[in-house]
Amino acid sequence: MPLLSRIRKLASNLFHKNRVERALDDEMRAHLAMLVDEKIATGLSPEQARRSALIEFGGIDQVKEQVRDVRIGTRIEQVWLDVRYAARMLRKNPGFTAIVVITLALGIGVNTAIFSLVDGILLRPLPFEQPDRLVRLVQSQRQIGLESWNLSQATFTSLRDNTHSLEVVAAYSTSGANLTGDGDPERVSIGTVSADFFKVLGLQPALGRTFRAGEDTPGNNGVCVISFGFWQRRFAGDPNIIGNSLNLSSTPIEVVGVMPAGFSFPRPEIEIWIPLALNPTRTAPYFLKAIARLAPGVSPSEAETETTGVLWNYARQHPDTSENRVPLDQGSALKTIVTPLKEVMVGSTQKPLLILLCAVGLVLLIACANVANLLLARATSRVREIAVRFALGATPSRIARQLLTESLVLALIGGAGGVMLAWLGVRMLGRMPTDGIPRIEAVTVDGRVLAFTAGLAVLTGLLFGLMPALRAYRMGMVAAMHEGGRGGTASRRSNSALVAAQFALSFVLLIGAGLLLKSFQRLQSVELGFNPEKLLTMVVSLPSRKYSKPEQSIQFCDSLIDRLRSLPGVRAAGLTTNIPFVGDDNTDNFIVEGRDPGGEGVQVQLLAMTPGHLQAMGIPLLRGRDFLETDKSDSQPVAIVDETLARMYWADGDALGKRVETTGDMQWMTIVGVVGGIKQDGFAEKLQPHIYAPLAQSPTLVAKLVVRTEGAPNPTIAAIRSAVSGLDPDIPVYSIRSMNDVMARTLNSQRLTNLLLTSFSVLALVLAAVGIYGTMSLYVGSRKNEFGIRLALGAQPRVLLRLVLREGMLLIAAGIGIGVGGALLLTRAMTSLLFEVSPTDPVVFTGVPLLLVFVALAACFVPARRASRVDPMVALRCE
Amino acid sequence: MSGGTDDLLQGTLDLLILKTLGLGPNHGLGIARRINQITKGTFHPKPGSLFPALHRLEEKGWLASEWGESENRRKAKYYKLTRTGRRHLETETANWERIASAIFLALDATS
Repeated sequence: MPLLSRIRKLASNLFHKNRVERALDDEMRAHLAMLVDEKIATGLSPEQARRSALIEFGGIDQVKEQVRDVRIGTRIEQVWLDVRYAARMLRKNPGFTAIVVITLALGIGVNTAIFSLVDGILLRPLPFEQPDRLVRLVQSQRQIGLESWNLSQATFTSLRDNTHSLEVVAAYSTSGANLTGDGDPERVSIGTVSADFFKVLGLQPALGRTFRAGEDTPGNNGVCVISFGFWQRRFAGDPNIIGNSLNLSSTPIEVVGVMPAGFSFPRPEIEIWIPLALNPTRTAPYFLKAIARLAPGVSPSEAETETTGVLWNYARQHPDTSENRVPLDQGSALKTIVTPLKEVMVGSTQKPLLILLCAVGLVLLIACANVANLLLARATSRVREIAVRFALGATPSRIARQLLTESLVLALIGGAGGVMLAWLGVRMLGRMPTDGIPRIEAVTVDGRVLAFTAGLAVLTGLLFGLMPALRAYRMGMVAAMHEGGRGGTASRRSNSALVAAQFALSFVLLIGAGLLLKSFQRLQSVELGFNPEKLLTMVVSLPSRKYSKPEQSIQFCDSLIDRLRSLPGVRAAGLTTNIPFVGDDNTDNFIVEGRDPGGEGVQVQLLAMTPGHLQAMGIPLLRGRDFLETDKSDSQPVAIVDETLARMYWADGDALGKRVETTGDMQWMTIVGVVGGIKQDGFAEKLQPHIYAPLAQSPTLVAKLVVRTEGAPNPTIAAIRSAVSGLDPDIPVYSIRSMNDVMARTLNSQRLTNLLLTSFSVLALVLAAVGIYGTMSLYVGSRKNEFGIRLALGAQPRVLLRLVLREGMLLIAAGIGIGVGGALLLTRAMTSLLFEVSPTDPVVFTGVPLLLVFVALAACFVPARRASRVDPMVALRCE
Repeated sequence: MSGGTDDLLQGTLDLLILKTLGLGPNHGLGIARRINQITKGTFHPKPGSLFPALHRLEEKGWLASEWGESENRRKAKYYKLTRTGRRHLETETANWERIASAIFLALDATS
């Protein structure tokens, strides 16, 4: 019953406000009238009685306000009133409102955008069933230089059949295949997987089925599962695709299933999955990685312990394998490495993203400081308004709430603007080269991101609104008692503190950006060992059926090279097995004749190439000769090594005439040349030793073409294509890219990080500059009289100019002083992202302060000049 | 405006109002005068605390109000106890007596 009556009260308070107010008015008036009656009864004149009654009553409006405060629903109504009042105030000062909203939109926008990246890439679970239990498993033997070693078919089978800590385990490797038949021949990316692959991930196909047990054995693996994208692209989503055949590497393969949209694992470009033809007796080569689902309650390290034990058992039973290169009883470091799958997929982006998140956090703090500064300045001019409201009976908490509401309204508008900016930003991100950044496709501005932004906006509003609200409220209270209060020094002190803090934060950001930029520059000016200018790379792949004999592929390569060299616009051309920077990695052990191969093995990059390839790449020949047409499959085996290898084994680097062996079959190759070292895996890698063999003695079915062009590469591409199809129309030419593009791709994520961090730093600097400009203007404004008097008394304008600038510089100095400490903390965390740049790089640590001082001087100059030009008469008249 | 009445504890004022209205319906001024009278001039509630208290108690459902005519034939808002209000008066009185006697004992013991 009381509840019902209270609801009725609430409704009447909210919706029949006039009636309730009129009743209150009547009650007050009646009370006063009775009071007057009482006074008259004691013998006072009506006049006196009325005055006395009014004094006893106190302020009628205050009493009414106090009654309103206890009403049910007052809070709701007050919030609404506050919001409306705030909106009116903000509309009345469109300039102020616009500046604040833009500042906040920028601050909140960059945070929303970066949070959407962090959320999409790091926070969101992988799109698989119970992704926390998924791990990747590889083996490792660091004593022979293999930190992360793949599995062989035999080790995989052994691990699959003998572990209990893994519920399901599957192996995979990736490759490419030529797709022929209906339509143009094309190259497709293939995942070669064991039968349980999809079971490990817990995925169901959109159509058909995935692989059955036993389909990953030789003779049973003529089936495939295709990706949704491939199904749409090649077959226009034909619902009757199941049961059809694909002609993959000249072998017909039956389509049994289509995966749902968005699934691509382990790499985004994979379109077809085919089963492995597992042969459990093959102890080499090592080309498989494994994914596994941990049994419930098992941790990755427990699984690692168990699987390492299984691997050791395997090694004991197979004494002739590479697992025993360092004997087990002599402290072998042979083990498995079990890593959570998510870490494998996104681990590399974690640090840059967290640094960006810190950076945008700093930008937001700077933006808050700016807005707080503006509000503080405005609080001074609102003293009178607040004093009046006090006088009308508003309680202190009521006024503080009103001021905070204004801040929150500003923050929410700014937040809405920020969401728009973030949305634009994420769309722009989609147009930038982002391959190499994992899960970037999962990044969107969605409900989660919006919730984050809303929370952030409220927090922001409280952060920048609290100090000005307290200030205005205190000053208003003082002013309500004394006439014409004015907020001088205290306000300026908080202003100054905020500006110093802004510069400190900007300093930290600029140092971070400066270090990354310098590191990036270092990276790009690294000595590559080859010349990437006007260099085209592409791949041709020969179907193994048609080119089953080595002579066939050698013959094809020879005629292709001949044709390419005679093309107009081609300066040099070569064929090889590995192009730098694309992850063509073929490392193995090797033996130098007469040297002990045991102990710590050295890994070497093994490549094959045609004569002329060195010239096309621009790799200098230091000693001896290039391969010749006469280095044939039946002539003496020869090799070329690079300087890195030569210097490892021969003090003077003279390797000519020495012999090396790489295949384990004692096929000694005589070194006929020494060439310069090249970067094979990326800008930042240490030079690895290389051994080159003639393509004629080490034939391949996947030939990488390197062509140095005279001028623009595009016309040449068409000519090359027709040269290839002239030799064999079923062979696709793919991955056609300039060497510069290939290299740029490896820097995509770094470039993005740099671009973002630099923009954030510039944004921070601009905000800080606006902040110091505002504060110095305020400073000059508040001392206008003094300056006027000084000028009237004969002070040099120059002296005043210097005075104001010095005041500004003091703030900067304080800011930079604090900033150095922060920067040292931040950059220590950045060390692993830097390349050949110290985290305390002297150039960056002197350049950034200079830049800050310069910007601050420029920002202070306008108010300083205003100070030196104060008209004494105007200043005095103002008073 | 006798000393100490301004910071009259809210609970105390509520109890005094309930007590006063227990004697019969009354209007604001009447309640103030009655409280002053029954506390022998110790409490002198001012409109600034009296009216918020009356409205709060009414919103809680302990009091009801209606417009009536005063002794001087003025239109006035009369407050009266509801059933809930009367129940609260009894429990609050009991509480108060317990606390008061406890405090009295405590003060007596230490003096």
